Amino acid sequence: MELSLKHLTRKYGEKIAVDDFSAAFAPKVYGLLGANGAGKTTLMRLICDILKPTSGSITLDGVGISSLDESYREKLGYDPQRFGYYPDFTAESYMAYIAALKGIGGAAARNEARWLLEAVGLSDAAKRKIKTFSGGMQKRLGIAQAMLGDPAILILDEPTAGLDPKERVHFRNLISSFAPGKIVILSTHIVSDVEYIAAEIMMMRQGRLIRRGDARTITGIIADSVWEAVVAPDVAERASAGMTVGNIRHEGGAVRLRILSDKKPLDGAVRVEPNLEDLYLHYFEEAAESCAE
Amino acid sequence: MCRITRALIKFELKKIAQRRIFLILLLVFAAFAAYNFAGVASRYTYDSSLNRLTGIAAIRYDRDTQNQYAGRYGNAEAAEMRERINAAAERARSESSEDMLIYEGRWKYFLQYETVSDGLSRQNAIEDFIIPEIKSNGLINIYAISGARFFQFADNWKPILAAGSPYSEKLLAMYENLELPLAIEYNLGFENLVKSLESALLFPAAAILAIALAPVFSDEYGAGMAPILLATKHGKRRLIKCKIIAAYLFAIGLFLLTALLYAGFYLLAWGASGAGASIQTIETFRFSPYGIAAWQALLSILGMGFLGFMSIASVALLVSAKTKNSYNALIPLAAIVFLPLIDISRVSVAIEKILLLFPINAVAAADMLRFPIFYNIGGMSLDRIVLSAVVSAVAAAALCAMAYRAFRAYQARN
Repeated sequence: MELSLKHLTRKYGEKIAVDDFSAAFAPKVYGLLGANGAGKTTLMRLICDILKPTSGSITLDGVGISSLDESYREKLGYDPQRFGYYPDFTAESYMAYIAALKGIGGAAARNEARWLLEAVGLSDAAKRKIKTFSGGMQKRLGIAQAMLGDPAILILDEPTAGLDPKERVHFRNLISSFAPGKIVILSTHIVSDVEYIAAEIMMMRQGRLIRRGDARTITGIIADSVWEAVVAPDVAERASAGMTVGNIRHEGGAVRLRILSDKKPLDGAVRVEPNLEDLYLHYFEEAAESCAE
Repeated sequence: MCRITRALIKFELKKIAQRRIFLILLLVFAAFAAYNFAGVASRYTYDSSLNRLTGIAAIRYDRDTQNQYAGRYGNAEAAEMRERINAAAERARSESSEDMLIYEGRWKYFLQYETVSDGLSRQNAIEDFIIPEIKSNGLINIYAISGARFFQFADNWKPILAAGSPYSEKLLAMYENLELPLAIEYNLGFENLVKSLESALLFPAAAILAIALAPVFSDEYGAGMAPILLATKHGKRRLIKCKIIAAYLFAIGLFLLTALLYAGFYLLAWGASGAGASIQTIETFRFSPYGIAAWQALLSILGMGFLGFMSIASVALLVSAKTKNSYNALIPLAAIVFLPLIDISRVSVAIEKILLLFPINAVAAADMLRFPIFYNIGGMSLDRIVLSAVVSAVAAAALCAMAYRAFRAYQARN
C-alpha cells in the first residue's frame, strides 16, 4: 500500500497553505511537525479528501483517491484537530453512529466500540452524554472513533493536545500497537510524542516539506550545532538575548544552557547530541518569534 | 433496506427529535391544537323544548335535527322548502322575546332549517347573483367579498377581473357548468375541520418543520462533525441520502400527525356529516366554482398540503446545507417559507402570482378552492391547483438534489 502525494498545492485566495508538496507514504507511523500555520491541518484534510487541492494529486496505489471514493474512505480513520460531537449523544451511541457510517453494524460495532472505549480509558463513561466530558475525554473519544473499523490509513491531527502526560503515554502505546501494517500520520506540536512513536518525521514550513527521515537522520543536519554550557546567570541572560537558546535550567547558582550555534558559542560549551526539539527550534525559531509577536 | 441504512436513518431522526427546541415547538403545537379543540366544549344549543345542550350533545342535536332536510333541492322542491323556512322564520321572530333568551323562537322553530336555508341561499346566489354579476361587472365585486387572500381592493387586479376578460369568461363558464342543485348537508364539522387544519398546517406545523430541519446539515458544520462524517465510508453518499430520508420521514410524520389529529378530532365530534355536501354550501367556499364535494375538497387540501410540506422540507434541507449553523439558517428559511404569505398584489400581480406558487401557499390549499387563479404557460391556461402541485413536486425533488450536492461538496476550509 502506497499513498502518494504529487505536487500538492492548496491555496486560500492568495495565501498558499500547502505548496507543491510531494511525498509517498508506506505503512508506518509518520510524525508531521511544523509551527502553527505550516499547513499540517490543510495537508491532512487534503489526504482525507474533505478538501480539494488547487493542483496536484493524491493517489492510493496509483489510483486517485477521489475516484476511489468509498473504497478509499473505508480505509480511512480521521481525528480532526477540532473534535466534532453531538452534545446529547452518549459516548456509546456516538461510537455506534460512527461505526454505522463506516459500514460496521450490529454486534461487531458494539464489540469494537466497547473495546476502543476501553482502550482510550472511557469504558466507565460509555453511557454518559458527551457534553459532560472534559476536553481530554473528548479528545480520547475522537481518537477512538478514528480507530473504529481498523483503518489502514489513520490521520490524527493534534491527537495529544489537551491530554495529560499519563494519557499521552497511553496514547503513544495505543498507536504503537495499532500501527503495524498501517499508514499512520499524526501532526503535533509536542515533539516528544513524535520522537517516541514516529518511524519517520516530516517537517513542514510554509506549506512545504522541508525535511523527512527518521529522528537520527534528520537531526544530522545540526549534528555539530548543538551545545551545552553552564554559565553564570548574567551570562545566561546575555546569551538568551543574542543566541538561539533551547532549554534553560537553573542548577544551584549557575545556569545550564542548550544552545544552537554553528560555532562554539561560549567558553566551556560542549557539543552534545542533537534531538528533535533542537531541530524544531532550528527550523521554527523564526516562526515562533513571529507567532510571539 | 439494509441494516446500516436503517441505523443511519434512526440516528438522524434521533438528532432531529433530541433538540430542545423541537420539544418546545411540540408543546406550542399541542397548545395550538388544544385551543382549536376547546371550541367543542364551549358549544351549546337548545332543543325545541328550550333545554340547554352543551359540547358533543349540542353538536349531535344540531347535526341530527338539521340533517332531516339534507339532500338536493330542484326548483319545485326548493320553492316548497322556502315556504316552510319562511313560515318557521316568521314564527321564530314572532315568538322571540326581548329578554335574555332572545333567540328562543329560533331554537324552537328555526334551528332545524338552518343548514337547508343557508344551502338554498348559496344555491340561489349562483344563478341569481354570481353569474349575472360576472356578466355585467366581471369578478371585481365577487373577489372583494370572497374572502380569498388576494385582491383586497387591489386596483392591480381590476383589468384582469373586468367583465369580458378571459379570466372572467373562464370563471363564468365554470359557474355555469356547476352541477345544480347543490348537495346540502349539515357541514359545520367539515368547515371547522378545513379551517382549523389549514391554520394548523400553516403556522405551528410548517414552523416546526422548518425549525426542526434547519439543523440537519448546518449543525454538522457548526458542531465540527462535517469533516468526520465526510471522511467515513458512507459519509458522502449514504449518510446524505439517509439524512434526506429522515427529514422527509419527519415531514410526513408531522403532516400525518397534524392531519390525523385534526381529522380524527372533528370526525369524532361531528361525525362524517357534510362530507358529501357541495363545497358551495360551506360558508368558506361559497364562491368556489369547483363542482366538488367537501370530502374531495378535504382530500385536495391534504394532497396539496402534503406536497407543500415536502417542498418546505426540501427548502429547509437546501438552506441547511448552505449555511454554517442552524441559527444562520433560520433567517433565510423563515423568509423563503413565510414571506410569500404576504399579499403583495398591490405592488405587482405578476409577482403575487409567482409567490402563490411557493410551498407555504400550497400548504394554504383551501385558499385555492375559494377562488381559482390561472397561469398562462405557453398558451395553456393552467389552474393554480395543477400548477402548484407540479411546482411543489418539482421543487421538492430539485431542492433536495441541490441539498445533497451542497453537503457532499463541503470543503473543510477552517
